Amino acid sequence: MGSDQAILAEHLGKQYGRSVRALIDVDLGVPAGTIFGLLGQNGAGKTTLIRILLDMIRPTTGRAAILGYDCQADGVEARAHVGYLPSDARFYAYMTGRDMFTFVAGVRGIQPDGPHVASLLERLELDPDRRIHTLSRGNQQKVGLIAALLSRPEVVILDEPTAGLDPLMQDVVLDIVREVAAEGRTVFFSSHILSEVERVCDHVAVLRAGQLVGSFDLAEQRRIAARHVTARLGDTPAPGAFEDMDGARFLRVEGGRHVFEVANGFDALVKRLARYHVIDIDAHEPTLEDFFLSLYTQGEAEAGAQVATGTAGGA
Amino acid sequence: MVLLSQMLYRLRMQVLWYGVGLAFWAGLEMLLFPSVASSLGDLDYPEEILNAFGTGGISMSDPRAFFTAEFFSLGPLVLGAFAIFASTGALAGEEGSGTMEMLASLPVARSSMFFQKLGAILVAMLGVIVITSVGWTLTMPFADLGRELTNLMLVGATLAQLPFTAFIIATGLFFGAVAPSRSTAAACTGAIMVVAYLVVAIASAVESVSDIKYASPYYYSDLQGVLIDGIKIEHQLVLGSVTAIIGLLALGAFEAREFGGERWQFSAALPRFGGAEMSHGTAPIAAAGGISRRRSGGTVRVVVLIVLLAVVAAGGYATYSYVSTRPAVVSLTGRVDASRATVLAPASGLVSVLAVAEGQHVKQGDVLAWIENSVDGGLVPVITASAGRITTLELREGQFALVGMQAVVIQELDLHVLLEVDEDDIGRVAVGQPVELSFASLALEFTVPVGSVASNPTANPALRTGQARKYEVKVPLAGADPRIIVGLPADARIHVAARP
Repeated sequence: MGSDQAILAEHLGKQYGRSVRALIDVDLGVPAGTIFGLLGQNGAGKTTLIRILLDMIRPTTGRAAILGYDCQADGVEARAHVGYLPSDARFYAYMTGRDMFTFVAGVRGIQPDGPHVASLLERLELDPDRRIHTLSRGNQQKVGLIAALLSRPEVVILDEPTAGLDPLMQDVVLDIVREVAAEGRTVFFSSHILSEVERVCDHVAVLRAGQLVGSFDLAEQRRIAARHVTARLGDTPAPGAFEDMDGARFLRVEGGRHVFEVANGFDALVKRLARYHVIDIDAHEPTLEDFFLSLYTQGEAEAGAQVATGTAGGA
Repeated sequence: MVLLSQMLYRLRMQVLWYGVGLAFWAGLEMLLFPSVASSLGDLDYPEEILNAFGTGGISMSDPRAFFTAEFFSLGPLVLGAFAIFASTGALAGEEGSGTMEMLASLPVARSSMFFQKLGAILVAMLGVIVITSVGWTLTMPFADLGRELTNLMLVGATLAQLPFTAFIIATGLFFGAVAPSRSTAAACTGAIMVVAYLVVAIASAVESVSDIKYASPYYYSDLQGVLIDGIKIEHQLVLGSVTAIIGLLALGAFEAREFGGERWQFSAALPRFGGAEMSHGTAPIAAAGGISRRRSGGTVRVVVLIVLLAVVAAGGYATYSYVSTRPAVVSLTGRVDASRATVLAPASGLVSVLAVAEGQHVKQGDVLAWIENSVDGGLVPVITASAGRITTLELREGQFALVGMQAVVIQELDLHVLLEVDEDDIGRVAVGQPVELSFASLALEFTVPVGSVASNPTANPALRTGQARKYEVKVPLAGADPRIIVGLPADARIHVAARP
């Protein structure tokens, strides 16, 4: 807890009725000025978490705060600092994009036509004078994005922001996200698309069935994470030939290749491999997908073993 | 105010169409009235049907009855439909169309959102009423309504629909905040409106269940028969209080509403009710620290619910007893009357002395005449046992009187109004109840208590089966204005519910 956390959740839980638990004891901290990705499959609780932040629903346990303002008790104050793009953004169909910006600006008590609005319109290639009901899903999404950024909010919450956009526009949106963060503002966005989260996020949290199964600093993870090394050998080593290596571990033989996990320096592995005839060797950085899949399969295994406690990640 | 004006902007076409539609309807009725009035006047509608329309048995040729039945009996339902459309659209509609997601993310308090929407709907409703009133005003010169009905009354009656539609709006907002979807909310609100309306119509037409009307908010709107009976301030207060309670419940439910869930949210409506506003402080929670559960426990919810229900029930009962014990009145016309006493001749013989004349007042024990007894020649006095005024004097001096013949008729001093009360009402009449008497010919009005109530019906040989028997009720006039004489007609209103 502290003022450096733009978004904070403590023991956040949401239960519907007696049995449906949409969110279970989530602890989460989003550092100010970062791009924070919330990953999870559909139904994992991403939207539930975001709706609690915006006081559209109320938590059954715990609490959440934005910039120190309790999302429920001081919801109005908290939302004054937040721009939000819903996942399936819908607006008053009779309005034009510009009407929409005027409306949102009117409610927020600001001017609807700052220079950043013109710049956004141009970059997103959006005609603001067309009625919203004549716009495609992707273009409606753009209206929503501009409306969310209109007040230059300190915290931007985007629920699946690139859904419905073509790849070119997805890049533009991700660029805009980076620029927002570069100004010291915080972006919190949910996605089930690993690649885009990987491309822009500093921090990632993973939700699975309402529980936070992992929350980590992506750059840091890349640095310390185990890399996988595979090697094709010309001869067959004896069993136990790769035991007791410092910083590396033999995993299995897969498709004729020996698979190693290297956590801490290549030296020991290379020296041990040097005893054999090495045909080729391959090493790659772990992708977010690797983390993601390992977290997910791990979580499912735990769930299957009736492990009740969640893997709570802390910031 | 941005939300208010935006909502109003969205309602503008509906306001126009509902308003113009009602104005055309009003105008059409106005233009039809002259031709309809002449033909309808001769028709005998069944009384039950007229009652159901709230015209209270007044002929349809009376413009008040005509417009009450033809416009104001159904107008509230049309305005009610608009109220349902607007009120369920305001909250549940935004949620259903997905725009609430964007709206709720803006820094607007739920209560502010609620009141802006409510304000917009009320202004829109007023707009419809204004346009309708223009319809009345423009067509007024084309119909001869007589003196009973003025344009002001029509506009006033149109405006009088606002409290009932406000009730529908509050109900619509409430269901919009607790129901799973707008269509469910609209169906529930519509059902309540139609039931409220039908209960009053049935209660008016079927006397045996007439008390059920007290359970209907429509009854307290006074719209049934609005042009004939006008509106009663105590009724409007009842309706206004019910509307306010529902409105507060709607606000509480909307404060507690969780968006995006298609389920009933009754239970969520209660705990935040009342306490919700106070929690909107601005202190950052960093200072608060720890984990706080903001919701009241289950026990508190139940207590709040019970207290609320008790208040509503007590209010309802108090209202019912107030309304149902209002002094009822039996009105009828009677005549001034007095008892008569007959003095008989005490003996046979010549009337030797006549001591009184017709019209003379006598006291009890006065000697009226002397008779010379033909048997023993002694003088026998004719004495009155009653006081009063002599109306008939059968005796003449020097005439022969026979024993037992009617000698003198005296109208006693117990001047009273004789009322013949119907058997349906006699059970409620009791000695001592106040009676308002009015003598039209003397321009005289005063209130006196009931003196006596007959225990047997008056004999009436002409009475047929099915005809009501009459019971005599006497209202004494002792010491009243001397101009009141026997035979004068008098209008009487007996306050039968008053404690004697």
